[in-house]
Amino acid sequence: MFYLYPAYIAWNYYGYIALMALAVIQAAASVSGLRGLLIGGRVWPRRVALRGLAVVALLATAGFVHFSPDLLTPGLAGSELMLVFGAGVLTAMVVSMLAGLAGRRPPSGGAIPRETREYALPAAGYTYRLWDGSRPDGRMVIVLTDPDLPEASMLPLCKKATASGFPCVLVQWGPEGVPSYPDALAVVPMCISSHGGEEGRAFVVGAGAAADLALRSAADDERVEGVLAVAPALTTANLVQGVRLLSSMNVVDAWRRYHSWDRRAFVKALRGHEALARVGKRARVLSSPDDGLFLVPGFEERTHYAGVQWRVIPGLPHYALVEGEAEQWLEDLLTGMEVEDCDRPG
Amino acid sequence: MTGLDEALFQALNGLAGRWPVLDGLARLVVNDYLAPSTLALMLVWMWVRGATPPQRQSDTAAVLNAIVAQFLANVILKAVNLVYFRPRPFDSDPGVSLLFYRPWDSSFPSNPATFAFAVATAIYLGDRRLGRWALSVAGLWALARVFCGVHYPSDVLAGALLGSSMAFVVSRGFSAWARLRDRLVSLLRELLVA
Repeated sequence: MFYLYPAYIAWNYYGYIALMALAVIQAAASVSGLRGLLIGGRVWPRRVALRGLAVVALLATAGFVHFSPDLLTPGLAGSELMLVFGAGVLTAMVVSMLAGLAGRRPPSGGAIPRETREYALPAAGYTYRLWDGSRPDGRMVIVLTDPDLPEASMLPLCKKATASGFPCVLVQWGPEGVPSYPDALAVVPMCISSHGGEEGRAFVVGAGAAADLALRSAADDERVEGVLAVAPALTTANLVQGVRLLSSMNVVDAWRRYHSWDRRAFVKALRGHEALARVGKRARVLSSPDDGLFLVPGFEERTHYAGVQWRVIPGLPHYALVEGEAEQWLEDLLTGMEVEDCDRPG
Repeated sequence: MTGLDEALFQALNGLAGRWPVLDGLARLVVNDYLAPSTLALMLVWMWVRGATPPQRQSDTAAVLNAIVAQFLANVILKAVNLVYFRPRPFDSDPGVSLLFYRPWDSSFPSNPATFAFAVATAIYLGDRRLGRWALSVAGLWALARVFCGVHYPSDVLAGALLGSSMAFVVSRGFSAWARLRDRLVSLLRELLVA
């Protein structure tokens, strides 16, 4: 039974803990880059975060002591202290998560152009749109969207492809996510066969888990001339888990990403790190340390990924890689240009 | 031993009531709110701050170790209280300078020292740097309890030993707990809270 007597100390203590916990969470989230918990989404330098925490702690403690003159009399029992402490921390966590909702979100990408033709294959678990191209050589660009991003998020890459004269197919997954392995392996060959004819060739672009699918499709199909993999997982060890997802998205998006479909099983089945080695110089990879460790156990990366053009761009959420750098890399891929200063993982 | 305990108590508690500034600082530390809250907020800090998966793994393990260690230490403390009751210093000697209210429970072992050292030691075993701050808070709190006349030095020493040993056992001794803890962390990850 909780009496919470004297009540005013219980309320003061609750307010004190809520404020202190909020300051601690904000400072810790800033230090660890968890944007999804930060008010305003801004990551402060470590020193600023710690100083801010110290100032709040001093003021909050002074206020609590000043407004609670009975601190040295019998007050809340130990179990009551734990209860109020838990309520204060929970409040601070909820406030942080709500504040993080206003933070950076994956791009919507704008409206889908009406001039595309849409092909619905509900039984196969996906739909796709086709932009006609002006090139007569049967080569096309296939863009695979990350299952947790809107299809419009890949529009900048589709526009880049069509501007170069290539027909472009933009694949969007159904509500169930990517078709399960190995059904998903049929997507790229089907697109090439349907719209490229017997001499069909393709460049494949994928983001997130779809980047692993792009790499595997290229490894299995010689008709894929080149791959641009944006933030692939390669191994399940690279999949961001739990609260670390809040480094690049808010809690709602993180929950959806984690629970909408079994990304881990899909990545594991695709064996993207082995596919990448087989694709070799046909592959270009853009990745960000924010999206994982890029550990590939058992391989010496430089040898294993010989010929792969790889760039690591730190500090960007996975979806931000689609913009800017990926467009330039796609243009280079389509025109056959080599990237001059590429990195290697590890 | 009792003589040494008494002598140490007299030496520390004898300083109480002489300097208002020192008394005020001791009252700030000795109360039931600030020191335990500081230690618990350190656990909140550890829970959120991990920037890399290995650090996050180590931090979450330390936090869960601290929670379990203080729970087990508290169970043992209650068991000791059932079979042994030691009066508070102010009950035995009316001349004690008391700067705190009169707790009614057994003086031995010190409940605050048990809690504080269980948490602080678990933090220390997970992160030496933060752990030194935590042990400082725990030590100050324990010292203030003697200074303010509510515990003998042996009470807080026993509490510190009990809490610290529980933290050691939980952090290093139980492979079954380690497996259970890892499962718990996996579950919490799915809920996006770890």
